[in-house]
Amino acid sequence: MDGVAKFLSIKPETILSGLCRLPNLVFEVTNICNLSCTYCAYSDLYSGYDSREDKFMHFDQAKTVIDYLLNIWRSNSSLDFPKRLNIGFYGGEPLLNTKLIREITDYAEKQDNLGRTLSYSMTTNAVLLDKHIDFLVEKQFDLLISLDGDEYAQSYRIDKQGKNSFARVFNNVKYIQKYYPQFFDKHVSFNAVLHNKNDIGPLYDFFVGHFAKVPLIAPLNPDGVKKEKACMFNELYNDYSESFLKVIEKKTIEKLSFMASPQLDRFYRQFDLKSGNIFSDYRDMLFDREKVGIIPSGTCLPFTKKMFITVNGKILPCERIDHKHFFGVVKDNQVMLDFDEIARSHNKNIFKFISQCTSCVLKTRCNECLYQLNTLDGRDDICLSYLNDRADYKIDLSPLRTHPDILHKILYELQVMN
Amino acid sequence: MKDYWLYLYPETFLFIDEEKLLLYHSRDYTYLEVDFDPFVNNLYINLTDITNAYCAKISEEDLLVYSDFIAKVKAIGLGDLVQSPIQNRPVSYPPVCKINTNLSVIQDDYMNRRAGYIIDYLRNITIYLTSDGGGLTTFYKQTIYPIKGQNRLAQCDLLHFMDYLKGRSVDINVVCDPKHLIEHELLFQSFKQRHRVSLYFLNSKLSNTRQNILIPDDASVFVICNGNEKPVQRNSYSYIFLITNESEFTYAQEQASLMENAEIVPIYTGNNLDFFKDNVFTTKGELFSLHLTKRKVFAKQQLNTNFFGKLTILPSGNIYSNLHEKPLGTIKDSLYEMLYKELTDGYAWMLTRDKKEPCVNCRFKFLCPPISNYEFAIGKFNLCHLRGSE
Repeated sequence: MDGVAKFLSIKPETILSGLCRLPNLVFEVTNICNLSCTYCAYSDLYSGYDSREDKFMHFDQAKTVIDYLLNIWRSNSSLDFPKRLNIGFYGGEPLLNTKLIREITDYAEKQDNLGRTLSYSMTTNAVLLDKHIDFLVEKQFDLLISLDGDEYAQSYRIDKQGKNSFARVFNNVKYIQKYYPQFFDKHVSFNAVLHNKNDIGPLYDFFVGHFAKVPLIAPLNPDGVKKEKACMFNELYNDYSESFLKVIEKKTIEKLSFMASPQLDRFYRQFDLKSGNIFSDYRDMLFDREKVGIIPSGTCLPFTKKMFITVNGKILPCERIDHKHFFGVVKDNQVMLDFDEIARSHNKNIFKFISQCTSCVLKTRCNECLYQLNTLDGRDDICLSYLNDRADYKIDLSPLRTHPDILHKILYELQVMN
Repeated sequence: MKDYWLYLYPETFLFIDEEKLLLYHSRDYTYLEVDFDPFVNNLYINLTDITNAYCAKISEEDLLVYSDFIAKVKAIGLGDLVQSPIQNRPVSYPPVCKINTNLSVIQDDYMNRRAGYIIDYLRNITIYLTSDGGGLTTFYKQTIYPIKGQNRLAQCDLLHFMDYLKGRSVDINVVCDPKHLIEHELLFQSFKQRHRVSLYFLNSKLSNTRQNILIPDDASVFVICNGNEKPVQRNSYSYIFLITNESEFTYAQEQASLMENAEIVPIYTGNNLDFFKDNVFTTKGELFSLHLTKRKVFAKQQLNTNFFGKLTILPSGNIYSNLHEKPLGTIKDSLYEMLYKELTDGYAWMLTRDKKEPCVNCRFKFLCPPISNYEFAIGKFNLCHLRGSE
């Protein structure tokens, strides 16, 4: 690219615009959980979250948020254009507060002028699934079930008495598979945490064998681990790439999901970022983004993807970031979001590494969320994704020799939601 | 027997027709043409097979016969030739475009009532408030130009239509007689601080307007001058000189050189095709001086950059993406349905040169300027001197 890139800051109107098109509204309906998983993000292993006093969110709090959004949508966006709103339920274990979940779904469905097609989703440990399955099926919830594999692999997911939750969870999931096969097929997916008691190969065998499903597998999150817990974390940690190396039938797994392979996943990410062949939509093709202006970093514009309400009433752009980055609060039946202040603070954050962004070759395709970067202890003065060398910008093309079909998969088969 | 491999760099586009293979480098803007024959055809087939990673095996015999072509590919920087066993063959990737939210996603969203944000594609609306501009009958089909007739857009309908754009910002061009501006104060109030507004007046109307005209705050003014008209001079105005022949061109150039913001726009009258052939038709030299990047070539493959995102509202209330085709609907119809129709089965936004004869069979089709109103006005799509199309 020729010339110097232009960087743009966001305006208070950007916050309003984000709220007008909010696609996901997520409520942390409780911070109580019926399991005590050893590696839980809210466990003693991690910092960066509000202290977990046992709490349930109340309907008034959720209603206040929905009413606030309804008011914004009615005044500021054209209702004639169909839109989606997914309401997500998060915990703790959200099924411990189904009373609130039912109240929220009822209330949302009664709003004639919502102007949105509603859908629901939930991440659950499935311990209480049998008790609430009729409701979840009726509302066609998308369920992401946390399950780490077989009984041994599940042994970090223990109940309050220290008992492995495997039998309960497995039986509940099997029950749904048997009695609600269509729902199971379309709406149930699995999330497994990779640790020192499981591995990628056996996980695929387990989920494909028992449920004919490809699981999402993620290693333990190293961000936010307390210094004094580093030893324990290292013991639990199982590196994804090393685990994949142990897989004997790699081609079988790659056929099910090519991005399960670290090598192909890396190739895809590099290709997406650096090839110049991939665009999010047609508008991307019309302008040279460096000349029109770039909003620094890969941080989502506030509320364009999600609004997350914690059980303590904090309003965050996402559940995956440190709670200290809250944008506002729900308090005394009022939503307090100061658009000017959010824009000011967001701009301060996204311009934090601007001296690096200016010369970074990834500036138009950055993937870094600044709110997540800030949690890197002692490393918050530099961006680890910074690339200033064209040579580094090159894609490692070697997978094209071993996987000649990979370009076809990426360019013609893979469906990516923006 | 040694294995030789010819591979092309990811910036090198490959286009073919029955005459030649064209290789175009979208970063260095260099190109090479080679006559079509069975070797070239085979090379093209191998290179465009996505599983070959933009690489083709070359036999030793072909290497001798086509040494000149291969040397040029290397010298110009379009690709390289290497000798290596198959397991170490070179790999590259072709410039093939993928759009995540493509038409099939848009169609799927529409079927499931989820496609709300196609409104984001709308970026420019030209509104003809009145049709008493006294202009010539058909000029408005080639460029922004007042329309002749008796119709007037109802302000209440227009205000209702603008509700679709709540919370959004688009560029709005307003065409009207300057004396009518005052009647639309409410409309301009609704645009304020949300949309970038440009007003288009005929120079002759402006010069005949005795009273002060009320230009809304922040609006830009464009004055349209026909032929050899002397423009009404205002420092802050921009000028558009419409020309139909060489003498008007010379006059417009003189006038434009005296102004800060001026544009010269050729108009086809039905009798000045030679003027267009000499001044508007694309030559090969012009084509390769356009310096088309990968993104720009992709854009030409996917959509029409002249028309994409633009709608025109005529005083009758009809809404068009292409004034030479049927209206998409009226100001009282659903904008959402009209945008969806235009994107998926429309007249202009996705009108690429591979959809029109004779361009569909030409190797230059994705390098040429996109189809414009001129092609429709003249009645032919190859406004060029590229392949004996005069």
